[in-house]
Amino acid sequence: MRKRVPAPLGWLLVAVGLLGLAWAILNPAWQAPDENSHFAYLQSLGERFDLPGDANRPFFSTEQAGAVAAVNSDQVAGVLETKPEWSEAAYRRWRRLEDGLPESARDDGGGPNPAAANPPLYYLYTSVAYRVAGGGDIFDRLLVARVVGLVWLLLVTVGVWLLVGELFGRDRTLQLGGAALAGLLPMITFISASVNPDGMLYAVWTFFLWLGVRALRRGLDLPTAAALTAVAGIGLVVKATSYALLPGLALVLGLGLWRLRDRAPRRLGEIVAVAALPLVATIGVWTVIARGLNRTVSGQLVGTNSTLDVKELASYLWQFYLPKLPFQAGFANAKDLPVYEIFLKQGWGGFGWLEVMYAKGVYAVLALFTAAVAVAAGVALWRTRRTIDFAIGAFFVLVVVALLAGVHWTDYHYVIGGNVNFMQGRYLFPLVGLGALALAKALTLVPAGWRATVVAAGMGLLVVLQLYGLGLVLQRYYA
Amino acid sequence: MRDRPHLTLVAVVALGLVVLLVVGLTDRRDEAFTLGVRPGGVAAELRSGDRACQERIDVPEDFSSVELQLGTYRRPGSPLELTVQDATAAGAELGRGSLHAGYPDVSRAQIGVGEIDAGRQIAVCVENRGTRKVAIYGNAGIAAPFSTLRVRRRTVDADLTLVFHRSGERSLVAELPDAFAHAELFKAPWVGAWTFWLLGLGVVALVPLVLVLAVRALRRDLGA
Repeated sequence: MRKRVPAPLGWLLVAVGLLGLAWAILNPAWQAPDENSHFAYLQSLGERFDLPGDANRPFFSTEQAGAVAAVNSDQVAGVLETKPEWSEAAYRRWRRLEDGLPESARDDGGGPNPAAANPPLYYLYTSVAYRVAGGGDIFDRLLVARVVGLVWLLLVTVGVWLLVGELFGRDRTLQLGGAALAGLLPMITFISASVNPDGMLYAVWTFFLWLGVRALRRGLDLPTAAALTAVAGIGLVVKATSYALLPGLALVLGLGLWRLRDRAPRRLGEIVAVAALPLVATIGVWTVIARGLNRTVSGQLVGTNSTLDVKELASYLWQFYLPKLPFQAGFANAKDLPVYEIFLKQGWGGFGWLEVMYAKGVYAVLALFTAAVAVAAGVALWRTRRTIDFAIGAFFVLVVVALLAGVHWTDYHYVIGGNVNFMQGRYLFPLVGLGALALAKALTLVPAGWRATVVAAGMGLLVVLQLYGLGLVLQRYYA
Repeated sequence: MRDRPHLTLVAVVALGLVVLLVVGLTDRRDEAFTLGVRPGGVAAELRSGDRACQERIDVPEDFSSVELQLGTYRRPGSPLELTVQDATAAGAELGRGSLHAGYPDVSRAQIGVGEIDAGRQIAVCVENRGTRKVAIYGNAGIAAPFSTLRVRRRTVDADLTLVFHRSGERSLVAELPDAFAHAELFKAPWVGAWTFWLLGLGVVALVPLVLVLAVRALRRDLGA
């Protein structure tokens, strides 16, 4: 029997897609975190069929360098005082220059850039659209690359719907509330509507969480094992962040096999083989290729200094989440309370190169809302503590701890190296599915007759935040 | 009671839109455009009688004053004369203004020059009429690739940080048509100002409507 998309989810996806399209078209070229680098990677792959990072080649192609200069992208990035080029005369001059460029102006980039160490899967996917739009100018190709990335935003929304449904017995109200949070959160829309592998990363992680929960609840079978390892393998060739999935993957597979040992011992070997195949086909193949090309498999994993001062690391972690104590040495240029300034503020919305922010008071309200949801979810969990599936709890804890350990380990080394610009709120978004679960759990405290109303109000607020964010971008860049 | 969820959604969005509209009407600004150069350091140092001219600046909007960031080496600033010329330093004078002595170090100064119309190229020239040297902030020459800075008649690999202001303030809502016209540049060729009006309508009206349909479908699923 053919399964239909549930109507509430279908309509939500339409709204998510419309907002994503608005962000993709409105935001100026390369005014999203590292979008210039990601586009340079994409162009290298799309034009030269080769990965970037060649030390003998320039960062940008001649075409991209000319367009970046013409639209004033570098001067605008992160600096509120400067605006993109508005002059029609300047635009016409750039167009004449662009029209006169030889074909080679597109493929003479491919040099080292901050994104060059990323694995290639996201760029490979996007390069197909880039090639299809190859006849257009560079802004055509940039827009097409942004728009095809919206698929991942839609998949995040679907993944959260499935995840909440798996844990809350297909309660449509809770599913809609959770999926709306993920699909309508302005910062996720903004990042997903830019050229950036993070959008794909969020989708991969959300499906990983859903499949992991499914395997733990229903038992490990061949299709679920294959899908779970395929998703993890895909994550590993999207971004190094996904290595943080491996402890959770090991737990789900290990526990699943352990539970099967008596019931179906013959199937154990089959499941192990089927689960290994997708990993070999993804990260295995990429490892062989990377070695052959003399590249690091995941540059970000080996890019930090490995020195460790446990006391200093503990102090860094304390000061990230809590106010500095009098006897603690402060970290140079560290923000006042990073968990608020970075995770909360940038998590809800910090557009452009993170310099386009909501009014301060808005973040205070959002902080209260976030805290209220966390407390309510905690209360709801406590009330249902006898029914908690501790295997699923352990799975979630492993995934969260692994992600936080990775980003904090990297940030710690950046901070002690005098660079405070690594950590960003969006690094938490792979866990958006868990945020949606927390919201769904909190909603269970609301009387059933009022839940749909509360979900509707929440969706309305998210739309207002989206409109506010789009308005800020319009004002910052074009007014 | 059946309609409560989607009426709530509509009410929340409507209330939010009213708040955003009020902000858009009351947040009034006079900035016309900028040269797009961030103030990264000293771009031109003018001794007594020296002149710096930022040439071939496109004027996409009318303006009546020019803002500079100035350094005075920790002493009261020297008087400056600012002229707006047609295209280059040798072009006809279009406007003129002056800044009195005594302004502080690393400060921003806005100098009135009279009404200058959009649609032309200009040069902004600053001359030190005092005895003490003055620094004008700007950035490397790549910052404004189609404009050139000349100091003491020599081309310099730098650009000045210049902000151009209108004579009156305008609200963001009043600026929407211009903002959409600015937004259409350096986009895919099929994107025009109309695209942004359409998108605006889509996100303001269609998105809430679609979400209302989502909530209605939810109520149907729940059998309410």
